[in-house]
Amino acid sequence: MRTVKWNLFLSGGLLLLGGMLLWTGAARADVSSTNAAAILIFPKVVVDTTTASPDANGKPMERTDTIIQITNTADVPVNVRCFWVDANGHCSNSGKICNPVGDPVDTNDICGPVEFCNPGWQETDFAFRLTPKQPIVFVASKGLPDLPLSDIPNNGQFSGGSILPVGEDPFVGELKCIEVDDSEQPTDRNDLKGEATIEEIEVEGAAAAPSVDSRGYNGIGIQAIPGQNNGDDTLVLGDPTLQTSEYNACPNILILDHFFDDAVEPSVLGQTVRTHLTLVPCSEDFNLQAPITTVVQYLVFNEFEQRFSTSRSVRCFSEIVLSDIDTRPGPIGDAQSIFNVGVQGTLTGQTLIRGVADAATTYGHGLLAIAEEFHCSSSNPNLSDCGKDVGEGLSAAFVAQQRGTRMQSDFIYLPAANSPQ
Amino acid sequence: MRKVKWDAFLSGLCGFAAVLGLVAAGARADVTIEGAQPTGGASILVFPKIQANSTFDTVIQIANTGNSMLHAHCFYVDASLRSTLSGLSCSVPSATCLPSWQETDFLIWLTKQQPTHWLLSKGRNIDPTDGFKNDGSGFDPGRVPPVSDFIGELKCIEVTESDEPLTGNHLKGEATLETIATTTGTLPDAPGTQKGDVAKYNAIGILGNPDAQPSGPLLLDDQIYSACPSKIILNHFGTGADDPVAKDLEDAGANLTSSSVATELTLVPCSEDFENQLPKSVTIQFLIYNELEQRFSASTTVTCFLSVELTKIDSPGAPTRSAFSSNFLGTDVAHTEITPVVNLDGTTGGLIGIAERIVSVTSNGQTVSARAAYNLHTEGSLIPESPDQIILPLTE
Repeated sequence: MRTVKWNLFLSGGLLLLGGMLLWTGAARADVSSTNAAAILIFPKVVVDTTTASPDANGKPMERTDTIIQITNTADVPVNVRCFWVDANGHCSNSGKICNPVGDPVDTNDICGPVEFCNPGWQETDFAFRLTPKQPIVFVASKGLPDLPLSDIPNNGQFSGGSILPVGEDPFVGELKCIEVDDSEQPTDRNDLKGEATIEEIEVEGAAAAPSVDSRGYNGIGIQAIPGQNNGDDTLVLGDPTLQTSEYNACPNILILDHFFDDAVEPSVLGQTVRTHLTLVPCSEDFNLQAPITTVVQYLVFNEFEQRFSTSRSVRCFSEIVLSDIDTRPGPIGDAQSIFNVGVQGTLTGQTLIRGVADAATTYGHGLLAIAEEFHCSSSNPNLSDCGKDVGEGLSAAFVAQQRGTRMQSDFIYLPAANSPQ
Repeated sequence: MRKVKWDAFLSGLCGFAAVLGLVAAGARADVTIEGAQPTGGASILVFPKIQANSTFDTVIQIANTGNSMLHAHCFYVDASLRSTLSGLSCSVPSATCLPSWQETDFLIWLTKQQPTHWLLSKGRNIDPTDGFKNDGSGFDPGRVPPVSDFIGELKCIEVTESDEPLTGNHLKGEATLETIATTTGTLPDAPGTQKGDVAKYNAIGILGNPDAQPSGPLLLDDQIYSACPSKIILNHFGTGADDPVAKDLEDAGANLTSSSVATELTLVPCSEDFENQLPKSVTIQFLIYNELEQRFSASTTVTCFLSVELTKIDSPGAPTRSAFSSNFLGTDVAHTEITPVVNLDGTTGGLIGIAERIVSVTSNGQTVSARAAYNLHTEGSLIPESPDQIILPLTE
């Protein structure tokens, strides 16, 4: 009888503990775009100032650039090490910048008929220091050679370092920033937050009104686990055994609510909508410059609860129109895509995006994403151009939501910050 | 002896549980746009700013992240100004032009993984003849009422089939703020708008404890539902600062006269009394840090709903004198911490919200503006003696 009573109590207690642990697990945000973090990721940074010179022919002057804001939320100075990831493609012979997943017609225009567009993946890193609570802002095309307070200390603290501009123009790619200590080794502090705003401005020479488009998203934060960081150049994101994990795990599934491509949104304007999805991997090897290929599975639900699926590989960085995920790049075949309103029949859908795990133990297949939604005039005869160029539609950006955590660890390998002794 | 052993075990177990509880509270994200693990959703979904009038409209998207039927009880909170004499909308707050704080509620239900949407000004009908590719195609989530001349908040609460609160964490959503008419104006008083412009944000989710049994009122105390943040962090441009991209274009020789940036902040209290229609007031303190690490402060009171350009918080008549203006800050950007303080009656409460960055560019005598929306960063849990609570109206 005593044994039975004891077991009942034990069971109740363990049940209570189990419940609490479950609630802890249920509530924990592993990767968050609204909490300060140790790793800050801006999945899409874009620059194009190549048409921003005065033109004698009266053509519009255009500029696309990304405004980055980063803030130290702590009461102490923090050091930050950042990596530009240049995902431009280059023509195989001439080296001209091209888009390896873009419309083949455009690639042919740039590279010509005998060259092909090689995907690229080039990192450039820089480091800087922020004083307590200090916010900074810079545009990706120019960087920030001198930080505020680099020469005038406040509270006895200098900021320092400089922010490099992106390495090419035009540029498309990612910015990843990692909180480090004074010797540029990773730490377990979570003090960084940030926002990115992609702006496109077009100015006509004559009496026309300017065109301005602006879309913004929060930098995605991966939090360090206090006391777990060993300070080496290999960052471990998640670990099901909880032995080696230094940072929270990446999400298992990304959830994207979106308009199906070419849907006519319901407002009085009746604009046509297209969505561009940008995916970046959680695992990155900046040391060996070795991009990782991840197979991405997409489960698409429409408003009839019907499910469709497709898959496509991502290597290093992917910005793609939803309708091009399962059809040829460019407008051909878009009407047959499972991301197109003509196939789905309802205006909106919910897509679950999952990187397929494998047995690798030195890298993982977690993904992070933002989406850009372009609204274009339905009377435009070239709707497939919606969002392609400056002035082709007005837009908004948002961060994809997430479900679960990866059972396979992700790794970020940093190049050594200091010369070998 | 047996009793002593029993107590020791009990004490140890309770102590362990208490430690775990502390750890749990420390690790917990309070409100989130990313959703709970492993369900990917939340139990209460808040859209702090939705708008439907002659200039703006809003597309609401809500999805069920679960694999079973989901029911939600949704509340529109109308904060638009109404004349107390005629009942019609008015524009300048006065003794006879007050926010209406009118609540309207409705129920929606979504099948497994089903997304749905509606336009705020149209609502959604139950019409099986909607056809293919049309607004309304798909399983209708229920009758969603339309609204007009509306600015305010939408709050949806996951419930059972019998309308009892449920902490299933299956709701997620987004709002798209659309500009449907072009208006002229200058920052910061009356930012002009550009027809067709869109800004989008993720709805804010308040997570439920899946092991708890909620009942009215809904307590946001980190036990039943997640608590609201103790601090909100906003990165913003100083109002009136040059837009850096426009400035570069101007420097390159473009025919640009000027550019400027402003920020609109929207905050809503976490507590809500839908039964008695009593608006909640929260006093908040702003600590503003510029790029030179200099600190300034301001304060205001949020009653039910606040959506305002930043300079109107502390200097509505003279924007350049505001602590939020670039003229005063001396730098282009600032970092502002927003903290609820204790009211005179000893109460306090949490807030959640969004921000919109507005950039205006002038060329050839014409000014065009574009908006981008951001979710606000949050920190900590606010659990006062009397925690935030949502009082639902009786359904019987």
